[in-house]
Amino acid sequence: MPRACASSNACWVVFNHRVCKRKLMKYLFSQTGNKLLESLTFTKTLYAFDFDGTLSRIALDPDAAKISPKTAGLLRTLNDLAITAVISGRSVRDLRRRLPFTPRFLVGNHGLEGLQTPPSSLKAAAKVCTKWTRQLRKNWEQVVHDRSVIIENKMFSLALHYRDSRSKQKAKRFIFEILEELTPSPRIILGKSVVNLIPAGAPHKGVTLLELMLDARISSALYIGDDETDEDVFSLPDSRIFTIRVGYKKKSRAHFFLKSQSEVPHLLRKLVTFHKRNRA
Amino acid sequence: MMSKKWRQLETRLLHLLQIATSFQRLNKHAEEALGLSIVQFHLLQKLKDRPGISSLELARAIELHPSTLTQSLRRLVRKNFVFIDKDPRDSRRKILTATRQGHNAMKKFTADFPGLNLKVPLL
Repeated sequence: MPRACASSNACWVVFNHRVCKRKLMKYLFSQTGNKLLESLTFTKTLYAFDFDGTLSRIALDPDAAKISPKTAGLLRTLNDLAITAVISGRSVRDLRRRLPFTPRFLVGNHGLEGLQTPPSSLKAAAKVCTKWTRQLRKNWEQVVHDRSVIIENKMFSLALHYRDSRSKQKAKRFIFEILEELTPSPRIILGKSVVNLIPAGAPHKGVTLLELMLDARISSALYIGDDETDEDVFSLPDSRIFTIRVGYKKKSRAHFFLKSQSEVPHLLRKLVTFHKRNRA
Repeated sequence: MMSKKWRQLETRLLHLLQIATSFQRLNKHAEEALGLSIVQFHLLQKLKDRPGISSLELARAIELHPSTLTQSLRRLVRKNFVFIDKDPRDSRRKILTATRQGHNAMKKFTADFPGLNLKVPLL
């Protein structure tokens, strides 16, 4: 039987005489987190944010998600002082509608609608998504009995939302049942009460962040996200990138965590203050 | 009798020794006057460019032996110019960051170094 220690920050798991030390995330506003945040402001750093659950609160209706005026104001100030990016599962068009200003980089569809995606790839992805929507609609009534499950076509990827469903487990099972029939097979990324379908071969958020760093000639980055889709960034084996997860999760590969989305404005304020202090 | 070649080699070695001694004096003088030696400044600059770098990566980046680096880092930590802690993702790895005091010391060093009254006998 594996046994785990109750250490404050590390978890030792002993199994079959092998010891595996898995580190757990640290709270961002700890001494280490604060020092690291401050040191990131000394150099050219890219600050990248997810949208839903990070810049905005998770809303029951995905269309109702919006950034608070306080967060938007702080993000705008940070954008004036440093380089910022918003990398989201939403389409770029949708993001533009929700943000009161345009940050330096705006990336949609989990990185597909990014910097260097050739138009031919985007066209192919749009074609695949139309095909999937047609296939899903065909069998939807027979398989998915839950009317609260909705299909969101984001042009280059699809999202099947089941947040409103009374039985989330059941809804998820129905969705997976219907996904087995899809051709070509999609890359599936699970989110918070959402199943994202992305055309195979499309880049993920991690690749996109590296592309942005290369494009802006930046040697360090800070990424803040809250979802499974953000684990692609959290698990990047790159020591130049520091990651923050909104909400603690034992198995996450992020370096730090924030207790909830309500702490994001506090993080933005800290970064703005550090940058302003550097200029003084 | 010493050959001409040997004499040339000896002169070169002597010059190298003089350079090393002068550099040591300059380092000491800079540390006394500006709070940072040239080696420490170089270390801090690398840390500023790469926040959260590990000590091994830093040693490789500035081509310094890890044990020499440890000594210099210890001095910087004592001065509160560098902060060292465990990497949250891997506890075997240590991450290094420059502090606000370190950043300010670097600024002062950059501003004052050209005007530093060098009383060091240079070659």
